[in-house]
Amino acid sequence: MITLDQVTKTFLTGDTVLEDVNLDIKPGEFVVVTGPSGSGKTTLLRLIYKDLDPTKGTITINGQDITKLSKKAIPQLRRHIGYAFQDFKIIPDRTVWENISLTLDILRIGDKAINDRVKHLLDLVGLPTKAHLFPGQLSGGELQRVSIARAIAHEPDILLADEPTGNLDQEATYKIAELLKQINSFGTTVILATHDPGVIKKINARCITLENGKIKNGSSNNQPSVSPKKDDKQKHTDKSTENKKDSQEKSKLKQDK
Amino acid sequence: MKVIKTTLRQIRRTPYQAISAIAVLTVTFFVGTIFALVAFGSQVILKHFETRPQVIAYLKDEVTPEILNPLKNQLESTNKTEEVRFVSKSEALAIYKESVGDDPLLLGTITDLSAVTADILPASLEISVTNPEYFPEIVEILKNSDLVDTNSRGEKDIDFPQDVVSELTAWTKGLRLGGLTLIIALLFSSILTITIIISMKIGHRRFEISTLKLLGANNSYVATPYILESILYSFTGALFGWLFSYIAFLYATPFLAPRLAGIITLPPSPLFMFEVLIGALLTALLLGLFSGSLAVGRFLSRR
Repeated sequence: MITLDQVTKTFLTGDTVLEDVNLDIKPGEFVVVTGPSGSGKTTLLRLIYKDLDPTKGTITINGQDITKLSKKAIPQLRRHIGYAFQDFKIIPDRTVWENISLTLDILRIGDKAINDRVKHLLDLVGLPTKAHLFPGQLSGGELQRVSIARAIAHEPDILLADEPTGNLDQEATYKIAELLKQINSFGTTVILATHDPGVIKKINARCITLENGKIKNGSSNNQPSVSPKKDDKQKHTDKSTENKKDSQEKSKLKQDK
Repeated sequence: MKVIKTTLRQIRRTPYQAISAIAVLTVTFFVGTIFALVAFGSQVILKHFETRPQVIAYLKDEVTPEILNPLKNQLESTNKTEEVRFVSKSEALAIYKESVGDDPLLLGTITDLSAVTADILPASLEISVTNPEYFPEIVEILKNSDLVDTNSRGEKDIDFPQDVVSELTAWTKGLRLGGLTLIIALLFSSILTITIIISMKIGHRRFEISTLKLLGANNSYVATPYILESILYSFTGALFGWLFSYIAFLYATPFLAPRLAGIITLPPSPLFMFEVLIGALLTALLLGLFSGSLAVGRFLSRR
């Protein structure tokens, strides 16, 4: 279903974030992409979503080489893919209901069908009472669930989830992990980018580890090649370093755009 | 329609920008409508003067239509006349009576003088030329004719309002040119105003637009509310501008109507004003479409 063939991504700054990546993902598969911050997880997802173009190599989705897609055809591709963004990308002056219904509205689906679908999604993500609240009135975990609900609203073939548990507490993290598993059980191909070992363990799916832009392994179970076991203090230090790296990567991505 | 709802919500969120856009467009359409009506009116006035007999040669008393025929043929053979018409004494009296109405003083019925009769009015030859430039040639032919009477100064009795028509033509041209320049300047400032306001809104909502595009929205989905907003501003401006200009014309009617009696009927008929409104709305549609598209154009090219 998704094939990356010798994919390399070098930004204008000269930084190579992905190098000769080969990857095959089957329909309905759950794939966890892991690795330290700055290893290229987000870039990999953005390449699949055609938010970025590879410097070299081809990306094929359902037999179509998306690197050759015209600008006009990009919206059509994205309508088959759901994306739960790391920073949620929830529109602040629209209610939860309006945010979730956006993807359906873009597809020009009728009001009645949208109402039914949004109601169902709110139940699925556990926010049935929050429909008319604004994003500012929700917690981080709730916002992430809204983001996931919006990503799957149009029943995409593929769901890309970028660090959906990034800044959440353990309970919220597990709820999200459960939700993703549930979505996968409906037949949606899920690609989850995370560096949270707890989530990887909970999901128990094929795990791909990226390191310095290269795939280090592609195991078929929940064993990442780098499974950091550190004490809490060390984790805290790592978190700060990761945040810094994240901002560096984001600034690189912005420059490239 | 959801897109209209989205557009109205966008307008509601920035009411002052909406008010300023509508105010600028109201001024544009007010001035535009006034100038369009004045240009149309001046055209009617010019037409009125052009189609009236432009050269009138008063004839000697003994001239009959038969005697006049050679002169008539000579004038017609120049191919520079539209109409050459003989007006008899009795027709002249009828025209006189029609022009003075029931005024007994002018009809001579209450004065010591006897009532105005056909005998005291001269027969005449009324000539309309196809172009005011031909006046001198036609007048020259008439001057050389023995059938044309002479006035008290011993000159051939010929009237031709060449100066009036030329002056009017110059004024009409000037008015049209000045009006057109002003309308173009106002349209330019209106386009600029709408484009800036819509661009500001787009800039303010960049996050929303980029998110929509990431969610698979195509260009038309993103652009439509902004273009509709621009059209809505133009439409509202056109409606107000038209309304104010109509009110202005109604207000000016008591002053203009007696001066333009017989040339233009004032106030303008509701049907005519409705046609003007349709014209203004069509212009507004094009203006809004152009300005809105201009504003969103550069954002559409982005992924």
